[in-house]
Amino acid sequence: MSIIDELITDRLQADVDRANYLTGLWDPEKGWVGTPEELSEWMGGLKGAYNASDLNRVGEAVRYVADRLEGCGYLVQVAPKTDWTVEDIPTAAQLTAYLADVATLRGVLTVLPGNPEVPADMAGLTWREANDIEKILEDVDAVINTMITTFVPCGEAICGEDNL
Amino acid sequence: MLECSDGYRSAIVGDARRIFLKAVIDIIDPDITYGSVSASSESRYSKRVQLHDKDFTAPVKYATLELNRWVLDGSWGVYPDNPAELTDHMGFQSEVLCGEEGAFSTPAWVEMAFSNVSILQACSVYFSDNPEDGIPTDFTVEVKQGGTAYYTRTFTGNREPRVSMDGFTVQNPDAIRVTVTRWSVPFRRFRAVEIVPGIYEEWTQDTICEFSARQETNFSCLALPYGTCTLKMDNLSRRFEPRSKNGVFQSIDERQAIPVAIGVRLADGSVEYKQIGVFYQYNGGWRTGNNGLSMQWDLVDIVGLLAGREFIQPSVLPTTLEGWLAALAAQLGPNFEGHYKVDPAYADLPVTASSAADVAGKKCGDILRFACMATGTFPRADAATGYLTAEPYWYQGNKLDLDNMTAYPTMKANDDLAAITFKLYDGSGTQYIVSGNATAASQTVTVDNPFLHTQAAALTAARQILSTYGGNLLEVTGRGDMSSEIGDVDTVWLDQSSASTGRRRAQGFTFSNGLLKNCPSVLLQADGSFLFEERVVLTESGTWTGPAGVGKLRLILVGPGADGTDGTDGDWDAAGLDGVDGVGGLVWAGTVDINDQQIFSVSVTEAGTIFGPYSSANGQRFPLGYTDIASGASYARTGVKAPLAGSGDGGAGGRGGAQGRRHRETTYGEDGKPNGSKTVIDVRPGNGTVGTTGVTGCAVIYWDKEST
Repeated sequence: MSIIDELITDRLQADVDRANYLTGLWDPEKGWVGTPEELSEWMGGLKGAYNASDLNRVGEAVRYVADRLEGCGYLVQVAPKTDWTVEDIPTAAQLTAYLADVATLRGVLTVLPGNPEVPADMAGLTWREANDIEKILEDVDAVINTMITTFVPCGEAICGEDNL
Repeated sequence: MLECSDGYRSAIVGDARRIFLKAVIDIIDPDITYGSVSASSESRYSKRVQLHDKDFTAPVKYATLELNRWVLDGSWGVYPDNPAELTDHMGFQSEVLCGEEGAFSTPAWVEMAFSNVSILQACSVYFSDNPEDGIPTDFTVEVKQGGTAYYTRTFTGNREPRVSMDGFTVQNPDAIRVTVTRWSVPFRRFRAVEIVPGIYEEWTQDTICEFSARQETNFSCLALPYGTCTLKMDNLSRRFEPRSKNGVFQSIDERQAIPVAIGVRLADGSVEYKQIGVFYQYNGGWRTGNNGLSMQWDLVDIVGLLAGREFIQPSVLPTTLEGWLAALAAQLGPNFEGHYKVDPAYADLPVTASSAADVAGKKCGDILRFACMATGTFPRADAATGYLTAEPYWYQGNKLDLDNMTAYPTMKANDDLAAITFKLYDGSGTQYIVSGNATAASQTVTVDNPFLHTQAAALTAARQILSTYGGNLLEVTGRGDMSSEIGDVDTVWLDQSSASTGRRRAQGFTFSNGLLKNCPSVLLQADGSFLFEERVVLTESGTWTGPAGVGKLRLILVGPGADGTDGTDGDWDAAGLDGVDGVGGLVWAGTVDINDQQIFSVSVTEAGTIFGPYSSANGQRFPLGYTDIASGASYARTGVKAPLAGSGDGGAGGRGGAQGRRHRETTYGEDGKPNGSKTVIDVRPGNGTVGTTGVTGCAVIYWDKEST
């Protein structure tokens, strides 16, 4: 179990709708008017919204994938931030760096067909783009796995042997 | 003419139209000076000065990490690195967030200071209405004076993004503080968009039972009419009851502004508003009726506010047109400084008084008239801004056709003027007499303008004055078009061929029972313009010789209008397409110097109109036609069904043919059984009609009697 397994790549419009619905359950007079389960869901950070937990998860995944690439001999320069809190206000420069780290990892190896592009910026972020960011990391990690399992041992490579 | 969209143009002349009225009631002390804003904590992206910018909209959405606030719907921006680069509407936002239950561990507060407010009897606080931002549920509003709260209102379980308070009186208040203890959504910043020390409400036709407005000017600057507005509304709550000690009546003060806008619903369902003016409370401008159940305000525009006010001289008298307008606006108090507008080409024209004594004791209205008269401009209150405005004539306006008039326009003779007598401020009080437009007229005027020092200056003023005499007045009663401005030159389409023009001198808007109708306008079609008394219109090629002694001509060269294209034939599947209207010809107009009895070759052809070295090809196209205000003639209109030769009008496009209709019918044999089918034609497809041919233009020549 790694941070890669925690990445979220299946957000839908329904998640956005649910975020709006659940936030609407905060009644000015009565407080929370939904069920305890719904309150627990809201307090845990909703899938249809982007929270500090999302930024931190992506940051940790960037660190994880970068470490794996370095383990394979690639020199990767990323500087993910993983200590976002609810009180923070992310700035344009911080979010540009956030996407740049993802783009850096995507550029190291040949990506799988269908691997999404890195969003141009975080302004106007949609659920699809949020999925794309994490899908890139998931795919790069998968490529690393394939690469490791197909390393050619030292010596002459011969067709028909184990790895070719 | 106020700018408006194509959608507005269609909607305002539509057969059925829905009109909306909007008046912003601003009962805030007009002398208020806003001071600092302090707070228990403040985000670096907070815009505290926006707490009194009268923008009540929610903050623009920027992403923060407040729990579940940044919804992935594509609507959230990203804060710039440098808060100074953030120019959007944000309002105040705290740095500190409320906790898990929405409670602030330490109450969060913001306090807005102000001065120069004599009395406060109402106030409002606006919060964000973005659902993601939440609103304060438990909070307190205090009105303070000298650090002590003299009015406190505590809200518990609030559900509204805006709260208003009245029924209190605080003398000389100097701050309003809002203290929040609980927010509706956990982990949120305290956001407020506006704190209003008074009343600032938007009233609509649902609130206003009667409304009328009138705008007027006098282009000659010999008098100073001004705009007025009457608003009558329900006072069922008796908020404006004069006998109520804690009503808001005592807060009504002269110079409080009420912007008024009228809108029309467009085809897409939106409403496009046009502001028709900013009107102000005026001395004795209120009255109650029905034992206080209704309240009526009679308001005036900024010209009316100034007209009767004595001009208090600044330490140094202004020396330009703009300088005088700035000085006049400043007479109304610091909050009116800058509330003026001058055409840039005229702003620096010299307007000087020989001594302070020459303007001593004059009314502001007189100063305004005199400054405009000396510079060839005219005064008005700009509808879009409400500002005091001085501008020269312009030559465009709206089109009025019979469909949008409730009656055929009436025409009557405009006043004539026999002579103008100027008293020149040249040190010796010289009298200078300029003949008027009609020597037989009974009326003469005397101008005692301290800004006119020479005969040349007086002659400039005389041209302006005479341009408003003689000719006709067109009185039109229509459905009302809020994009029309005083000073516009409107074209009145009287039938399919002819049109008349006039400069809009007065107009009214009357709103009753939800309808804008019976709106009167007065268009001035004066012919004393520019002191040119001779005029000839050339519609054929040849030569023209300038009269002996004439050294200056005013020329209007009108090029040929384009043909309207044919409509296409309809077929069984669709109606034919309408042809495109032919555009009116290019128009060049100007005043030129000539030699005595100079001979000019004249060419009026389908290629253009050329008069000596001058050509219509160097002119511009006027979408609604060019109006020769001196004669009332209209040239170079687009899409005219029966254009008159020499007008330069473009022809109307043909109409598309109608769609044909046919259907199949079953046929029956002699035995009564179906044996097939046949096509039955209901309507054959129509043929498109031919577009109208555009016509050649002309050369209109005026010459100046002064130069003879």
